[in-house]
Amino acid sequence: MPIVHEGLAKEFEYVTKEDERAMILEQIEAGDALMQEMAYSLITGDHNAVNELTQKALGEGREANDVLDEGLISGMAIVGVKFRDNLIFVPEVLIAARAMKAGMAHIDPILSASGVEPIGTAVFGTVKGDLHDIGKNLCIMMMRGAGFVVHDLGVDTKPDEFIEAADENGADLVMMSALLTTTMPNMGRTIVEFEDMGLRDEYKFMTGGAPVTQEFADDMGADGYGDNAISCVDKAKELIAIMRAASAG
Amino acid sequence: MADSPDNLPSNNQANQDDNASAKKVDPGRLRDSMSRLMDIYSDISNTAATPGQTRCPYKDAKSRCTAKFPCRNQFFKVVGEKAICTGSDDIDYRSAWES
Repeated sequence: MPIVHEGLAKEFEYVTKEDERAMILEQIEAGDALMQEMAYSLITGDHNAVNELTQKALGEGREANDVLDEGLISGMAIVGVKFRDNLIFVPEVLIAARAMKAGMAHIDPILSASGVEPIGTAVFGTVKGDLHDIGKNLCIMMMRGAGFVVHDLGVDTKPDEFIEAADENGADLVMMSALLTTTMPNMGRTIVEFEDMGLRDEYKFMTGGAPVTQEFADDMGADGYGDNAISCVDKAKELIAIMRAASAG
Repeated sequence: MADSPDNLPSNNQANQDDNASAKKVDPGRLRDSMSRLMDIYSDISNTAATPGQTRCPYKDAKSRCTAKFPCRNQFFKVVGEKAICTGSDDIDYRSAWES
């Protein structure tokens, strides 16, 4: 179906490269009006609408693959293009990512039921005393996209909150972020609290954030460090593989 | 997103009827979809990381330092006012931070 949604048609005009236009248009046109509305709602960050539309689409019998491709990913593709071309900025991307999550909340159980298991489970928070979360949220977006279940603990997360969340959610990974040099040491303090509770070996610990370095992560006793969202996902996968291998052996 | 993080419907809260579509999932196509999504996210991540590699997050629009900790790039021209950032955007600013 050609693009009939007026708002989506306007958004699509921001995609100017021919190859990108062809790829995104193919995905959009494979869907119907409901998928177009879903894509538009995702672009504009309306997570309530994405939630309802995804539920409706699946309830009406559409395949999860179609909803993912034609509704959610086609919308996110336009978000990516607009961000790259400086038409929107990080907050808008994160709002779209929140809408993506609302849609994926309905897709994930279907994937699980069909044997597509998540790679692993993580709890992820900005450490105590630190209110910065843009980097954390980008990492969470990437982690979820890669197939992890990630429980977002928000900002100013105290060690006991990490401990409680890791236990409650059966986490494999405890992931900590900080932007301030003054709050970075709280990553180490959090790990120490896990040690004091006798829980150090239950989880793998990852650290990241603008001032954090591999050396600092090593000093803090972390198992992994990511200097950007992509390496964060790669490292998380590596740590999960180590954990799985250890438990299998 | 985010100070109050996971306030959206969780997977468990998602309508159980969604599972009716379970049989229809094509794993091969799903892999392709997730790969495409990761490509989109990777591009976003790279775009977001680029300015952060050259511009200190504590430097405001007028090149004044907003950090609450010492940095070797701080120059206090007027006592009581914010320091001027003397850092070069050509080098990694993080090595100048003093925690």
